[in-house]
Amino acid sequence: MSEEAKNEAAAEEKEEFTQKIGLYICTGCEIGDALDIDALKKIGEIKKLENIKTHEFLCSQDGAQIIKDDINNEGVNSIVVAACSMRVNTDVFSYDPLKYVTERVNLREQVVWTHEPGDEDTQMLAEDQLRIGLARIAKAEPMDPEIEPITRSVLVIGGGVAGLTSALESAGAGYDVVLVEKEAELGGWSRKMHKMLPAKPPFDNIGPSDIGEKISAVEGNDRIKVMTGAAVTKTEGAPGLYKVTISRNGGEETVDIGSIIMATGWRPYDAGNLEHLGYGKFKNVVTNVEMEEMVAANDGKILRPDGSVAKKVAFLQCAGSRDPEHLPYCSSVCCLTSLKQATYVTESDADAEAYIIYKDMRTPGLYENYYEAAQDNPGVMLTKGEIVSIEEGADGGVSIEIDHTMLGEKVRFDADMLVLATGMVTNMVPEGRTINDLTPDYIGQWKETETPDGIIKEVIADPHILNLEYRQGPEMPYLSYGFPDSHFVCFPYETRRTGIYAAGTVRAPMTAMQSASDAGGAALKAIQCLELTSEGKAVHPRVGDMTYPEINFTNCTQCRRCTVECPFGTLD
Amino acid sequence: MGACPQKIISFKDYSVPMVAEAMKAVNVPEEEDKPRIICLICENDAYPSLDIAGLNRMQLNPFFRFINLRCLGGTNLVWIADSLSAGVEGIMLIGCKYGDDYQCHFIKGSEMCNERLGKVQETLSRLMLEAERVKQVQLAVNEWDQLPQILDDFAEELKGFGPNPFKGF
Repeated sequence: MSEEAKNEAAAEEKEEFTQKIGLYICTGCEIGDALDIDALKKIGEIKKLENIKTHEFLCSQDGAQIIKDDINNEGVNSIVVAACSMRVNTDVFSYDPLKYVTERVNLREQVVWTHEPGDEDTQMLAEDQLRIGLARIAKAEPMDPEIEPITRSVLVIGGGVAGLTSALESAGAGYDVVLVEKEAELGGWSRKMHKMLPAKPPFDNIGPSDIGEKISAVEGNDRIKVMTGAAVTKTEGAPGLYKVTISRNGGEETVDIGSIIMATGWRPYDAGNLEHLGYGKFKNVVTNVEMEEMVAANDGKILRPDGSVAKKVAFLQCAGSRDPEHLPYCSSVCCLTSLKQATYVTESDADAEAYIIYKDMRTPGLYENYYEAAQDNPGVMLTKGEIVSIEEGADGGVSIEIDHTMLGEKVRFDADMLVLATGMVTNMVPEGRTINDLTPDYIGQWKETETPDGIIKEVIADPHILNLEYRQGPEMPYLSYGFPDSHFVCFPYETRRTGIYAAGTVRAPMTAMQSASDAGGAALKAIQCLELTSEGKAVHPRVGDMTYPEINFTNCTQCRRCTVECPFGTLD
Repeated sequence: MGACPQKIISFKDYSVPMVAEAMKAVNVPEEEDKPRIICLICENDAYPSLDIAGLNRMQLNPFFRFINLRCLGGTNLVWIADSLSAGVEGIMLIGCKYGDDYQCHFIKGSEMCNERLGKVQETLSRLMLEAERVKQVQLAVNEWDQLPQILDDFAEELKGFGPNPFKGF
């Protein structure tokens, strides 16, 4: 064919794909021994295929070449590879999906390796699988990705340690960032901490927080536009093409955004529910958050709410956690926090003592080194136990009785102050709602709509953080306890809204160090989303896929079932 | 694909008519001792499980015909009626687990498939066929060694119903 004719043919192919199928059967890997290959070839002949070839080692260079030759010289544009599983040799049998279609018929793992060789039924199976493959490819067309210019910018919602870190990571990789923080100051909870949990190997010592450096780095970075005292009021569009409206100081601004990182953090479990543990009842019973704030405000001195010095501080773990009436889950951080605060106590005064009452001490991973160091601290006493009673003690302190200790008997002791180690609630749960009264899938309200088919009940999410303009509602679904659903096993950084990535404590209880690491991961995913989308490729769950749902609207009855049922809320 | 009752949602390389044609391509012999069972398998857990069974040379019942889906959520109910009226003895759907500790890579796909199959009972009784001829199985990729038993048990159950009256039409 002349160059001119080839170009003309290529131009024609773009408009209409005229299929020319080539069938390539590998006889290696015992396939040739187990099956009547000629009979398989006949199936192709019956379908009038002109290019049917076999090779004893199809994935070798020579074998792969016979397919390439047919593509280049015979005009084959639909390749059926009857050989091994589609999950292997994907690099060998790879043909430009924009020009060609490929079908992998699994004669190896699913036929020859799992059935009796030479048997009549095995042969019939192989023939049917080949027929299936040929039927499939007859209905396939090359891919035609939608490629639009996208905005290479990342929106980070939340200016705590996770938000700041993901902003720095994204900017460092060369992407513009808009950082939205609802408070007037950046830094989140880390700002209120006196010291931070171990963040460097060997993880056996607490130290000062590095949040100050992070804040300065973000404020000094030209790529990051910081908006404090701000909130996202509307998110429209799709990955690569979002338009986000941010309100601040009574004004509004709409920015073009490529992908979104949701790092809106946590809040403490409401200790108002813990009166049975003395909170609100006795004045010197505080939460771990209050303890941290007090110690930070008093520059390391351990003072009670009334200002007097506390020398004996008791800590009660799992306060309102691992309890079906409160937070059913473990927040994984409170044991470490109590160890940290116990260290504050012993650092404040040579005579000061800390008593930690626990069900279990949970110090995951290398934080175990810090637990060991704390056990070596003579001022820190740790005991397993369950609360029998908490009463007002002498001098405004508390008198605590515990049972099921390792001594096998009840123990009573007094302390100047009791710290309740309360857990973390995700900020995906709006203020005023608890995780015990959530509506299924979305956090919102039941809505009844009258339709010709009867009354339909569905949950509409309450607008909160994202304010999405999507058919499935303004917020994303949760799986458990208000944490965003993500397919935690295979795609933990994803959420059920493509292009939006949850990072830090909003998605699971974790320490500041873990949040920073999580934020790095989310930044990576946000960038990956931008780049893949710019190439017309899917992000998740089929990474790199250039196909997308195409709807033949001529026959659409607008029943909307697809928009309601899509787990990712893609259709509108 | 599974949601749309009009069957108008498709992809360039994956559509309702494509799978329908694939099912029709299966040869259904007249002999009673040569049953045919369509087995829809999802590409995320079911297909790899079959591969691993193959790697371990586990022997499988030869009467199943495997058709890949991206996810069981793409199952359109029209396929069930079509293949049963073509004489196929039964349809097995193997996909990822759903529920609290779900595995389904498309989050809700296999769960939705299960719900939709509940609606196919009416179709089956109209065809005078047993509801149990359609069966969905949740398989985690590490449960590949259960495949021979799963397939054999279903084949045995179908045998108990007697041949599909549409076989040989």
